[in-house]
Amino acid sequence: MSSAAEPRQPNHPGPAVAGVDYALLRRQKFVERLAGLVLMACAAVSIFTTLGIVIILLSEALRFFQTDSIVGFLTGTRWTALFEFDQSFGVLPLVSATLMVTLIAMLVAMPAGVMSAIYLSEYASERSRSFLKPTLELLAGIPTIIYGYFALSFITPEIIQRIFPGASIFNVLSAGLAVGVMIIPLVASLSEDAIRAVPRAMREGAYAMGATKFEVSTRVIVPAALSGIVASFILAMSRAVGETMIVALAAGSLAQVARDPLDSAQTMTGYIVQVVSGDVVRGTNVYYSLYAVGLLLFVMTLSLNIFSHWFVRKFREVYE
Amino acid sequence: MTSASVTLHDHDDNLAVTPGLRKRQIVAGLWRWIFVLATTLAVIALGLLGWYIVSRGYDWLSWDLLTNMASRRPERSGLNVAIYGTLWIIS
Repeated sequence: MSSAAEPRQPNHPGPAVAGVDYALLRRQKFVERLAGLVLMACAAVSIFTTLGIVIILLSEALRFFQTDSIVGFLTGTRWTALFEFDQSFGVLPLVSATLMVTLIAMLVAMPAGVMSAIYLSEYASERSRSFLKPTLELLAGIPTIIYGYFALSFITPEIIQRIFPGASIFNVLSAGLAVGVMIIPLVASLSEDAIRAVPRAMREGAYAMGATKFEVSTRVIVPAALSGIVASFILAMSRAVGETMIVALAAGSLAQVARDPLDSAQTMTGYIVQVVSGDVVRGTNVYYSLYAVGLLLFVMTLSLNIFSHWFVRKFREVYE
Repeated sequence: MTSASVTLHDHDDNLAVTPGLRKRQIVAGLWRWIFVLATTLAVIALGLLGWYIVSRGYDWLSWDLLTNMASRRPERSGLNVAIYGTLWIIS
């Protein structure tokens, strides 16, 4: 780049034009290319991280499946991984607990989230909106370990055990409720975005026909924003499936097929926490079972996310 | 909207075009409060959480807690190391 005396540019055929600083042009071009490369490297970091995680998960899980069959893993109903004798790796107890927590959480978050979204976008005045929206989003910013202790030392003894005296101190219901509260803001803010994207003309048309605010909201706006609302449900669900700290603290660590929400159960993430905070020996079956459970968890959340993308693309109503 | 509905009720014969208007307005009014309730549910949860943490934690908060090292004796134990650990993770 130092040979500034060069009269012609390979990329600029023809005679050198007087007054053009070719050295400057070259420098600019160099900087542009460099910036592009640096930015690409930044983007590549997250891609390679994801790739690395997937490769590790797959390779270590494969080792687990060399000694234990995939079918037995996926259909077994006994999970006694940490027993000294009579180990059994049937993942259904963990999956059932995860699904039960997710179900309870969604039963809390779906109605509360969508109704908050409708209220915020259709009813609330600018003033109450400016107060309510940040308050809602504060809920999403609370560290999950705080939700976990809140569920274990407040929701369970002060609420659940007062209503159901027989409930275990670790129970799925408490964890599910806390996870549900945690994902309300996710549902609310994504749904609100979808609702706000519905064109004003549709509201005005409905009002002009004499519809009440409730009718406009539920029969015009929610159907029009349905794809976005469902997408928010699915994303919230994948968040609930992967939630770790709350369930590890509040749901307990008894791996049994979850039937009673008042009983304790161990979720997939709860099992992973229990093992990594213990003293499991690297290279044992229990160690590799971590990756098998992790892989299953990853497949579950990934398919939820892919489904949500597909759903939005397929059902989105596009308004001009 | 309210003023419009009042005039409609003054001329009840004209209501044939909007059957059950009264009922629809009551339903709409009810749902408005349900929406308010759903939104405040989250605020209530946040308030409960905040109240719970502050009421249980406030008495224990002191400079010693923040600056002492971890110790086997609970009354001397502190978060010094944990706070540095958190800062290191963030940076």
